[in-house]
Amino acid sequence: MPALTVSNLTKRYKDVLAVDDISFTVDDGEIFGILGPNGAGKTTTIELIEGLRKPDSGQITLLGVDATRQSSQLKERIGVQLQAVALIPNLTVWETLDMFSGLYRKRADRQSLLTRFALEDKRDSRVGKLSGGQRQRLSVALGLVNDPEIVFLDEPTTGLDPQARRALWDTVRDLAREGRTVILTTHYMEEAEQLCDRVAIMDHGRIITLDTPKNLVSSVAAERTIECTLIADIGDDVLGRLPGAQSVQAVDGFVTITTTEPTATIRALLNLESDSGPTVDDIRVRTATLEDVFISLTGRALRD
Amino acid sequence: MLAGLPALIRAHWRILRREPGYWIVTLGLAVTIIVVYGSLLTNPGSPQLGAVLLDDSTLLADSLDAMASINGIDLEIGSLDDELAALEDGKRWAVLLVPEGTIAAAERDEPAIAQLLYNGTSPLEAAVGRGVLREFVADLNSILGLTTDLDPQEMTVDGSGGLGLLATLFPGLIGMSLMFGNSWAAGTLVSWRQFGILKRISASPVRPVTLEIAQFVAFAGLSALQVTILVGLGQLLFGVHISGSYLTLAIVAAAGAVAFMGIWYALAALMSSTPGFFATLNLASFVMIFLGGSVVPIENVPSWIKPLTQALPLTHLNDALREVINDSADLQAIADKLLILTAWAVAGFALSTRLFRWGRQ
Repeated sequence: MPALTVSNLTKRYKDVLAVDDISFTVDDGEIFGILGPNGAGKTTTIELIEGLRKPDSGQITLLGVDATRQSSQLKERIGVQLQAVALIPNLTVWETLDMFSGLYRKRADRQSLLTRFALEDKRDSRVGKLSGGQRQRLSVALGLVNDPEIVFLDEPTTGLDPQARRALWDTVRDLAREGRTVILTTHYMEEAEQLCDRVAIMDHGRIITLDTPKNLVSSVAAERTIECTLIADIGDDVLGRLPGAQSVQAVDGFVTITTTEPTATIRALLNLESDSGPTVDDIRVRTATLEDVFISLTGRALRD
Repeated sequence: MLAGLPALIRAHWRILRREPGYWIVTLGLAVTIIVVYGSLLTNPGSPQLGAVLLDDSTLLADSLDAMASINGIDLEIGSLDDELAALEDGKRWAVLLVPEGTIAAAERDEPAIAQLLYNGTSPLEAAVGRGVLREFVADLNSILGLTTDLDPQEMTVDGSGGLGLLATLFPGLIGMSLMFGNSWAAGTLVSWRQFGILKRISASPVRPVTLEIAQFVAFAGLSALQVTILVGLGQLLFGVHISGSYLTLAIVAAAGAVAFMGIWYALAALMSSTPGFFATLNLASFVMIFLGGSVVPIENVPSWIKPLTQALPLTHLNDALREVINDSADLQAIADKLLILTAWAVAGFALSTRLFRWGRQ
């Protein structure tokens, strides 16, 4: 049985169609990512599933229960971390965990939550005095106070430094290993790629594609991307005529060429004639990423 | 049903404890109110009265002395010149002038005319003094079989029976403090909603009513303490007398607290920002403390305002408190007011849970 089934979900705010008729399922024990730029409808989607907002239409079946009826039994079984960190500044870390775990019947061990999120040293610090990263980790920890079957994480690594981000990825993997289902949103394509079993890419309230990161990347993997810096003055038209070149973008001498034949393209690039020595510098070849998937599907970069 | 209640109460108490400024001001406010009002409105001691006996009957002098000592009132009997001077110096509140031949007139079955003199610069004291002397004359008449009339002009004085302005307004101060003291729970609710804390709570199984009850329990103690300070200091410093039972007083106060908690929660459901909530609260409170009889008496308001005063919950709370404190009313006697307060509470809480919003949208 899937942990979550969403069908034809729609939510409109005044003139904006925030979620536009989306359908997907999430399997039990899966780490499911919703990737997209700001304003794509990720948060609205996740909050509709959590029961924090009422959909205009569509069905949501969460853990076999109709989630649009906002039953307290269902809320008992799900863990929620909200995007905007909203905590009471005058409570300590421990007291915050105490308050939120006290809202549930089933309670996780708070001491091990502190350990898991590296907050032991901050146990008795006021929340208002925590750093942004510490607050973010506490906010994620609050999503686990009721030992939930499904954990919803809305941009959990925003505001974390790279090291803390990787630590949190490990924690999320552990959650899945413990048999929990994890549904997270992110606008970091690297996060989705590294962490998620499957990824739904959202744009303008719609799911534009949904698959494993590997499949998504290989769907555009016929193309490679060559990045280099131009030393000599060479026109776009010349670059565009390079063998295998599909598209060329040049901004301030920084050139991005997508190609179906990377070797031939590079050889031709290096052989371009120039009066003043070498023409290009700093050549890199990238395989496709989810970013490229997004660009190839929407024609825009993920973070505009 | 009320899952999460202990955790929420605990959290509120912790937050309150961390805000010493808040509870110091709250309790300090109660002290300030009673000290300021008490000093401004209390009777400056017992009435200072004088009598001038132009009739040299010792029977009259003895009777007046006896009545004064029974009632614990300072009554000096002196010469006309002395008493007039004392009146001008403000040493007498009022002076009774008993004319020559009062006893003789009574024997002839004719009325005698006594006069009341008072100093117009201190009207409150003059009014109390005249009231007391009027009673004296009536008592004298009945004891001695006299038919003394007071100067008709002086008979028109507004006798309040000696109940001071503080005693009249004191119950209203308690009502006002209950009204303000029970607004903080709803205020906290609004700010928690504004800052998104409610949204996170809404992802848990907690119900709105549980949260409201937790806040009520957490904040009601402070409100109760405020009332205790008012009553305690009022009695200790200014001789306020609680004629009814403390239990009845506590029940009325609790009914008032719940009513205002409900009313402010309804307002909290309608307002989306903390400043907006408190601005509206201040407006509503301002109208109520004046038209509800907390800071000025409303017995003699123009007739067109009367219906408005009767529509305010504070009026009924103050009336109930007044009847308990000044007229030793029991629960049965104020049942109608308690019923009105209960109705406000039920309506407020019903509206607030119906319109309850966890988030801003």
